[in-house]
Amino acid sequence: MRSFDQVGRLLKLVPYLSGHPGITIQETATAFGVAPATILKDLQVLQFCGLPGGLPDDLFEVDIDAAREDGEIWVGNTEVLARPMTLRADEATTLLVALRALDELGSKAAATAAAKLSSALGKGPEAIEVTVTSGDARVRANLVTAIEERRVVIITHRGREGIGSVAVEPARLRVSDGATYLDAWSRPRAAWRSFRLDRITACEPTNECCGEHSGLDQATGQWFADATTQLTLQVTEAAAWLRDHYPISGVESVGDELRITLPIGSRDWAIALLLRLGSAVTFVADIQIADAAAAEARAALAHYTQSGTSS
Amino acid sequence: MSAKKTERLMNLLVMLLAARAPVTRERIRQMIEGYHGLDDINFERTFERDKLDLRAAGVPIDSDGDRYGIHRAAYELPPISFTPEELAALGAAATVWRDQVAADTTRQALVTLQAAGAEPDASRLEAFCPRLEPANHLELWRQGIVERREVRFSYGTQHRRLQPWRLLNRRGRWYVIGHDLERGAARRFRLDKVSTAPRLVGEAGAFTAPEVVPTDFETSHETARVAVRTGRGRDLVGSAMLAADQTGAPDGFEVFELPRSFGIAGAICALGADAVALAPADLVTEVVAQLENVAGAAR
Repeated sequence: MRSFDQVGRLLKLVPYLSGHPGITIQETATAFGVAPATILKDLQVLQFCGLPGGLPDDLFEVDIDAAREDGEIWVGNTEVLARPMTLRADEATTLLVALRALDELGSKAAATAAAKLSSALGKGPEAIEVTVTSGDARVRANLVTAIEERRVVIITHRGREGIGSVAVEPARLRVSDGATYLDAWSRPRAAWRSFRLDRITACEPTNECCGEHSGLDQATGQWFADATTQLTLQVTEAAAWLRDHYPISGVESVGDELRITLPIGSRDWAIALLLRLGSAVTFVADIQIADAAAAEARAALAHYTQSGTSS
Repeated sequence: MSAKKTERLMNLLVMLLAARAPVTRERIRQMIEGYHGLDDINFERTFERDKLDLRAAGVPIDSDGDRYGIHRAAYELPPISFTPEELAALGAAATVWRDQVAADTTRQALVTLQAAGAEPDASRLEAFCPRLEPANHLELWRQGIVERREVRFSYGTQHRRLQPWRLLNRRGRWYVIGHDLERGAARRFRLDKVSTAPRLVGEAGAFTAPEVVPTDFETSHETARVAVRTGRGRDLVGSAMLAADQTGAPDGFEVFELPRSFGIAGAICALGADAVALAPADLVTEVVAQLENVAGAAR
């Protein structure tokens, strides 16, 4: 770890600990996203820091024994660092952009929180535009109101089997891979369902209230979170972006190429990925998926030979 | 990591923050124990290095000749009070980034707010659950835009010089829009296809972005005619209307006219037998070549 990283953390840690007297090492480590041992090391450094002069009154008071033995942190004489350092530029940017994404989905509280931060910090994410939403703005606004009021709605939805209406209890709007979904409890099916927002053409509120249902996160978890199948591919530099774009579980260099292992949500998704990458893929570990992609490619090529649209 | 060094940096910072007036270099050398016992050359070197490290941590150190100081008003987080709903939104912000680095940085920002007495509340079931894909070098791009400095980077195999105007997240992808100095025109680049670390070049204020930044590049581009099996390929087709001219559509397919965006050939191939490229001819050639490649690879 670099010294300035530790200094950056200490500048937050001192006011944090002053404001949370007696907090445990474990809680502090969780809040800071570091190991408990790191917090203990920070405390060991802190006891030798403070105002110049070298007198005991000049230094921060840190009860190292209480921290070691009881896991509780007590600090004193920290008035000089009573408030944290203002947000660094990158901290302000990532937080404001995240709030902007929530705002885009319809969270008014995220919009006002971002406005307060921007005006206090004197900077905003003006240079950055986030458009994570899709679908009809009026449908979205109706859904946001219904979620807040816990009201049942009738949505008109364009599915694979045509257009249908269904009574749902809307729970949240979620974005995944650039598409927005409504997660809702389907009354007819008595189960959680996800609907793509751009396929919902109408949303009518009713006077009925939503019930209590558990298991939303399990039912709609990130597609890769519950993926059990892994696919290993070798790709050229042209597809190196895969590494940054998907939650991969392994990568190694093989000459100029990369061997990437990634969890796959479904077999169809993996086949589509191989078709999309084309010649950038030089090796596929799963022969069956490679064969299926090849068969799909041949079926697609048949369109060109039959219709004569091939040039 | 050296505990001695962290200790010295902290003491330097506390001293400058507590001082009522800027402090001379000589006084700093006397007061900070960590500088004792260094000869002139070593002190200079160590002190310069320490200033750089504090600035890297974000500490605003002012210097005037050989006097140094930290303005408390510039250093401290200004007071901000949030409503319970806003604290819930801040808690939800912690889970938005799918990118580990950005998620960590966001967490650091939230810890700062906690250190100032706010308690972002991540426990409330949130009605909003957006996800942001990794935006590589987000802060550098933002800096280039705000400071109006040229950015150089490699895109695929080509070197680019760009006057960046705006970052844009659309359909889960990150783009930078600006004036491409190589092409002499406004261009849009995908951040995930930038193949080397971008770097800032030249002076700040080197250009002025137009008042209205064109974000809709689709309209200025070529159009692609694509037949898609009815009901499929919503990701490709999006909200596009059916083409007036349906010539060339196989049975059960509908023809759409789409902007010929970056990566459209791959998107058509990904749909397999559910999509057919109809025009322009070089797009059809590209799609057929890619499909033949995949078809042949497994044989």
